[in-house]
Amino acid sequence: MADVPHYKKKKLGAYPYLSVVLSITTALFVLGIFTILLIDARKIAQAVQENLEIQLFLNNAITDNEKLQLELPLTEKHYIQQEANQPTYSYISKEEAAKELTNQLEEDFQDLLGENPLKDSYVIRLKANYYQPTQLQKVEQDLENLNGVVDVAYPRSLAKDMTENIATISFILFSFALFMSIIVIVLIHNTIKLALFSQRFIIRTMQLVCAKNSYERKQLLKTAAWQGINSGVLAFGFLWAFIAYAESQLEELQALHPIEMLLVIGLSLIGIGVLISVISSFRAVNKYLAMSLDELY
Amino acid sequence: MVFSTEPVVSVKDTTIYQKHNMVLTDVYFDIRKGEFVYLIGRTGSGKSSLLKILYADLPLYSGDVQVADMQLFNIAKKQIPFLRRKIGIVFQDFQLLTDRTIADNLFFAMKATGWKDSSKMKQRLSDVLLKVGLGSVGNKMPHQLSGGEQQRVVIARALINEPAILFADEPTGNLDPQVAEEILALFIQINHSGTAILMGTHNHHFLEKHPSRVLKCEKGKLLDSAVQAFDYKNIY
Repeated sequence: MADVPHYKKKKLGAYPYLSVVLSITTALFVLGIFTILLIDARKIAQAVQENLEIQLFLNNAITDNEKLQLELPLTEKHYIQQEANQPTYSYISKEEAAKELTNQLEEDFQDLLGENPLKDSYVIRLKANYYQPTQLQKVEQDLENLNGVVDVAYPRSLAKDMTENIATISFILFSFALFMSIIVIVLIHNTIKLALFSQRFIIRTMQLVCAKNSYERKQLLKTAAWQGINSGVLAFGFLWAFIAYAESQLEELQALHPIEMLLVIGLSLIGIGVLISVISSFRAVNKYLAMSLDELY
Repeated sequence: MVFSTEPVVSVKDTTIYQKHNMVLTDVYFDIRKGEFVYLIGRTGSGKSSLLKILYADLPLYSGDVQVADMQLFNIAKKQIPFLRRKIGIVFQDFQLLTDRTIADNLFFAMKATGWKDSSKMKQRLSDVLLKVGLGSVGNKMPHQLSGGEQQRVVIARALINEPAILFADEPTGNLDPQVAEEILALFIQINHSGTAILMGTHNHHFLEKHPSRVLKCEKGKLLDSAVQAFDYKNIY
């Protein structure tokens, strides 16, 4: 057989492996971009929320000792942001507050009033999920009940607007991602259905040369699984390149995309690719296996 | 030729349907090991349907049909591949897998029927290709071969599992007379090595050149030259 050159041209009637892989890759890539967009949006929203400060104004009459005693209940509040497992809060004395206000006003208001009307305060930040209006009210009440606290202050309307805006944006993004996922699934499903439609006579011929249905199914599903894996890996590669480019343009983005997160997304893309590919192939193959010749035409 | 008495195909009291139309009724015949039988009849007379029943491509609704010791009435779908391993099928339209080389076509048929050892597979590949008179076509694609060569490959494929009988549905229908006779000669050669053959054909030269038992589909009945004499000389 040495005299026959090996045939390398596109094989006529072969399973359109490359087209299918490219279609699935595109679909998975778009899905990946959206997942990352969704995660980024959540992270940014969380960061914005966590920057919101809450001030606890203290009774002028309480002693330094009582002030220190206040710190213990503060460390026990689970809703306060933590750093290295320690709740973070800072103490601002009324003198410091006055200095800051004077700087802001560029005028010494104490001269005008003859005294410092400000109060000592603790400044805390909440964990992101305590910024819901109902949660915030509970937190506020809880803080006001602390001995020595006279007032709890935070930019109320800002907190409210922020929560509402984030909810709206999250909802829109999420619906869009859901919609995208459905499109991706339908697209992959149809691509595979068409690819196997082009193979229906080959499937029948295989039956005629005494292949068991289970054998044919196994062969075709193996192909499907591989095309899912290849598409997932390709999509992940493109996604990685895309993010690397975005990060080179905008360095702040780097903090948003830890490598573990990208790897999880990559593995998910591969998993989704394999799952949809195999399920779609399974359905299509079974259909053609069960068809008689007349139905195939 | 000495025939053993054991039938490879045994058909009793069978009605053949094409879709929902009855095409043949009261069909009775046996084919013994090593027999060469022609199946003739006009287009649409039920030849192909009968052959398709025999290799379980059409369901058998009524009757008693045994092929290679397997009962075809109500045969389970899962059993069909095992039936097809005991028989060989040759098609008019070849039915090669157009997406792979000749060698891969034959390897597919081997793997599908449980062959595992690749050196044995290669050995069998060259054996069957040699048997049908093809040498170095293993690396070619089906469309690179002539019709006659493709049909030889199909016959080679049918021979892989040493079938007791070959069913051929107009195997020379798409070939020119010269090539058709070469294919007939090949069938005769295979028959001489002990494989029974049931060949549907329109080619009456075959019947003159190589006279043998004839089954004829006519007016809804199957005539058998082994049972009664009938005129099959002037068929189309």
